[in-house]
Parts: sequence; structure tokens; C-alpha cells
Amino acid sequence: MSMRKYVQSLLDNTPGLLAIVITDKDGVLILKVCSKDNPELSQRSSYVAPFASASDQASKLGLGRNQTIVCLYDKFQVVSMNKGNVHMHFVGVATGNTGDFLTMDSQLEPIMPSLEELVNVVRSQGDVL
Amino acid sequence: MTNFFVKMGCCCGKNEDEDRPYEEADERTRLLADPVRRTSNPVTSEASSSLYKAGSPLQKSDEHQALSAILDETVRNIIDVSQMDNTVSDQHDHLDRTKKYTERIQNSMQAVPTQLPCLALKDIANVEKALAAPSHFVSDYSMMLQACNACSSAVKNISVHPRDDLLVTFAVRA
Repeated sequence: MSMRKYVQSLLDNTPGLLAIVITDKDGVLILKVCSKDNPELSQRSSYVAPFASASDQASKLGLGRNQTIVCLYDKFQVVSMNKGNVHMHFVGVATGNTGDFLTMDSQLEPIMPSLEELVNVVRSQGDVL
Repeated sequence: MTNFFVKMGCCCGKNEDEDRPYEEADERTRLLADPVRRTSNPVTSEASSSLYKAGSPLQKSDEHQALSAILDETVRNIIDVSQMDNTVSDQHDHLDRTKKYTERIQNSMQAVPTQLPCLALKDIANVEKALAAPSHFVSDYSMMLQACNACSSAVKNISVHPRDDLLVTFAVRA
């Protein structure tokens, strides 16, 4: 099973989840799977990229390192997780089970080593160039 | 709050910001407009100025490094939401990296678990084998039945014999 199919199967098996977006810490898209009802705007770089900065700034508030930010909108909700070099964004319907979305990172744990390796390889290539 | 951040922004440089009215500093004002310029400014505190008067060039460089370290630490700790605009500055780099990620994801043949985790009920293969497995012996069944009956009767026979008075009157003053 490929990485994309695995993430797609997670999306299909989670009620209320519309999209899973995985980026690096600069907001550059690594992997994205989505259903037809997902809001396209939530996957744009302009929406996803500021999470890294927001998480960094929120870490300075004195309560320790920020790990997750949950944004609730009229029709949608977005759970964004900071996993170091890899950031995850789960877009769901507003009535979706937020607690369920917050446990999605544990289900993505099997592919995390591959994602981190991928980010490190691409970054090292960028440094060399 | 604004007062606090303005103070934080100029803690290591000249106190030139104090002359500026606080109404000028809104949420879009950069707290540290030019950190490099500020590092070259002299410090106006009494302790630092006394060191400058008596210090050698070596002491001055140490002082400068210490002030730079303090300034870097302050810059790191300042909550500056205007930094969020810089994340998508290099669009070409973004597109290049996205392309690389996509190529590598498509070409990757890394082993990914075929079965999803966290399933409460799992399907089992060859159900007929489990159903056609030999049942327990009758003797085992009767032994379990006897043990259960004995436990049940033992629980029913539990009784408490009070030795003291059930009602105890405390010394309550009327």
C-alpha cells in the first residue's frame, strides 16, 4: 500500500473528515488527500503556511511548546498539528468529532519516519544547491 | 500591553522610543525595526557606561557580544505577528520543493501497513474453523458450574454480626 493510499484510507474511514494535508514546517505541501466536499481554500499555501509562525509565536506565551491549534468556522473546522519538521492539517465539517480528529496523528504514526526522512532529504538538497 | 512591548523592544538600545507617543505604535508597527543598527548603539544604563569608561577594547567587544546575545534572546521572545507574512515570500522555492516532494512520494516504495490501526473489532479468516472447534468437556463444564454455584452460595451466606451498638450518640450539647 502506498503512502497516499494509506492516508486516503484514513480519510475514508473517519466520519466528518474532508481533507488531510501534510506539509513541512514552512508550509510546503508534501501530501494531500481530500474528498469532494472539502473547502479548497483551506489547502492553499496562504492558509497552511502561517500555521508554522502562529505555532511558534504561541509557544512564546509561557505555557510551553505549542503542538496543536484547532480553528472552528461556520461550516468547517481545521485541526493543525506541529510535529517538528512535519505539520499536519485535518479539515473536517463543523459538526465533526474534534476529539477524533485530534487522534489522527497516532494513526499517521506509521508513515511519520518516512515523511521526516523525505523532508530532511529535500532540505539537504536545497542546502547543497 | 502596548506599553510593555514598546519597553521590551527598546530595552537594549537607546531610549529613543520613549519620546515617541505610544499611540503611534499600533499592531502593525515592527517592534524591532532594525536589530543590527540597535546592536551598534551604546547603552545608556549606568552600569554599562561605567564599564565603557574603564574598559579596554577587549572588554568592549565582550560587552558588545553580551548585548547582542541579550538582543537576540529578546527578539526570539517577542511575539511578533507581523512575521507571518514572510512565510510565503519565496514562491519559487515553494514550488520547487513541492515538486520534489510530489516526485519522491510517487516514487517511494516504502512499506506502509496495509491494515489500519485502532480497530475495535477485527475480521478473522476461516470463521468455520473457530465455530467448528471442539467444545469443552462435560466434566470441565460441570466443574465450572459447581464452582460458580459455590461462589454464589458463599456470597449469599455472608452476614455481619454487630457487636456494638448500631446507634452511637455523640456528646452534643443542647
